[in-house]
Amino acid sequence: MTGILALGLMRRALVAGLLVSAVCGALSPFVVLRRMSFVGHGVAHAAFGGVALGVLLGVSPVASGAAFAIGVALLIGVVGRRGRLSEDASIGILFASAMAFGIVCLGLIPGYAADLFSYLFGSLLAVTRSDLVLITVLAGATLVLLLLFQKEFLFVAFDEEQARAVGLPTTALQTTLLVFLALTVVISIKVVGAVLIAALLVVPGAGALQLSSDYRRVFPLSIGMGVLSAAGGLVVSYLADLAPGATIVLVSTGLFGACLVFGRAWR
Amino acid sequence: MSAPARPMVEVEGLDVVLGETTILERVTFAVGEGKIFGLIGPNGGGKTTLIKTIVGLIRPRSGVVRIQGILAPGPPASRPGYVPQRPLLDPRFPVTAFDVVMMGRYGRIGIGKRASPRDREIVAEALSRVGLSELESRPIGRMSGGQQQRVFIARALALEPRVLILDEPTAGVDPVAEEDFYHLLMRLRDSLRLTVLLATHDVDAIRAIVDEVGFLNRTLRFRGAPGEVLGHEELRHLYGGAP
Repeated sequence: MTGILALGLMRRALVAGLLVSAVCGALSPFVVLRRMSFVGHGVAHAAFGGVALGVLLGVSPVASGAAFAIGVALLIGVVGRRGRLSEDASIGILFASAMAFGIVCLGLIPGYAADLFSYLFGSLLAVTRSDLVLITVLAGATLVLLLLFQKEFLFVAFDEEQARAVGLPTTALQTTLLVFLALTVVISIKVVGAVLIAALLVVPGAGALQLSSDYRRVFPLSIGMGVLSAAGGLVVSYLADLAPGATIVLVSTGLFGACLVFGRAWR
Repeated sequence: MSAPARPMVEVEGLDVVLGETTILERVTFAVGEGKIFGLIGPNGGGKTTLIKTIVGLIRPRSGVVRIQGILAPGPPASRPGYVPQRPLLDPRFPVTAFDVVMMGRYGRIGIGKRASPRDREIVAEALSRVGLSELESRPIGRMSGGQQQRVFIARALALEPRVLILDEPTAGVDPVAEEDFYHLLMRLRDSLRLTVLLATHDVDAIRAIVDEVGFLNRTLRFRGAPGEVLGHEELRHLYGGAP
């Protein structure tokens, strides 16, 4: 890739990558503290199934991906509250089925092997202007939501039963968090792909929790770690001509390793 | 103000069925203002279920619960303070003692709103009542079991309740801390004029601080003064003989 075209693409990729990683970083401490990393995984694969169906039917892949992701996220919530099946088993069933469904859908379209690869592993350099608008709007909405209701989300994560006992609408709060997690996953598919999103949702929060035991610092640290991973990953992938999504995830894993080592010394 | 004998907790004809199993059947009792009511009974007898139903976490199949005369679960101002049986769920959760107590205040603050200086005062006061003012900025996971227990009591007090409900509060706490704990409970009752409902296995505590005892095994089998209930034929073998 050369010249102005590459730089233009790169700039859009950079903005998309930074926004998505910031939102994932903001959600990440909740995902880690509520032990929802597998939920993130399940929702990501469900979104992939929805995106593939959208491509097959010629409707907006983002819309169908979002519908699938939200549907599965809510289903996981219901199963978690009153199901006879454990949450991890239900996610295991849902995510493999949605994934298989997506692969079958894409297989029905001749010549779509390349797209299959890009949805699974990201195609950051193919982010369009309208993708970027959507990412910006959703990222903004998610960050505002997390700022407004941080104390409530935190309480539900810490002790759901007690939150209910003092009169907080815990089911509504949890459902909202799951819906926004699902939307974040959908906008992240172009950046890192369905397979690797879980890393963006888990690694920054896990790293930040190594560095601080005060949530006021954990959230900014987690966002910072996400953004740093995206920026670093994109630069490295550009210079060394590597897959951008995977490079971002590897950089974030490296940062997590550093948090693990230095976290002990700081605390 | 209301008459001194006003019941603060009223439970009437409570039936609770979970799945296919009847856990509670026709449970009826009341606790008068300022009294400490001790709930005893075998494991699996329904103590925790009764407490969760009174607090509003479990919906009964039939029967009603009233707190301060208001049908439960009522608005935050009429909710009881609740200290659950479970220990800290996640010791690495990044919150301080002050943060945890503030959570108890959230029902009063309102959703999406920030804590006011008054809320912070109430939280600080709750921490001081349980003797933890010095440790308010310590991460909850780095406190001892007894200290965490007191943080959870302060969290219940932050709602400014008139009724305090505790489920096996001294489980896993050492004997010295246990005694301190009961002294604390009496002090809180006296200074805040709280009505207390306490589920416990601890016979010494029942004799020392409880005004009335109920023995629960699916239904409330006996109730009365501690000496009376503990001395009952059926309970003697369970609770180690006559008082």
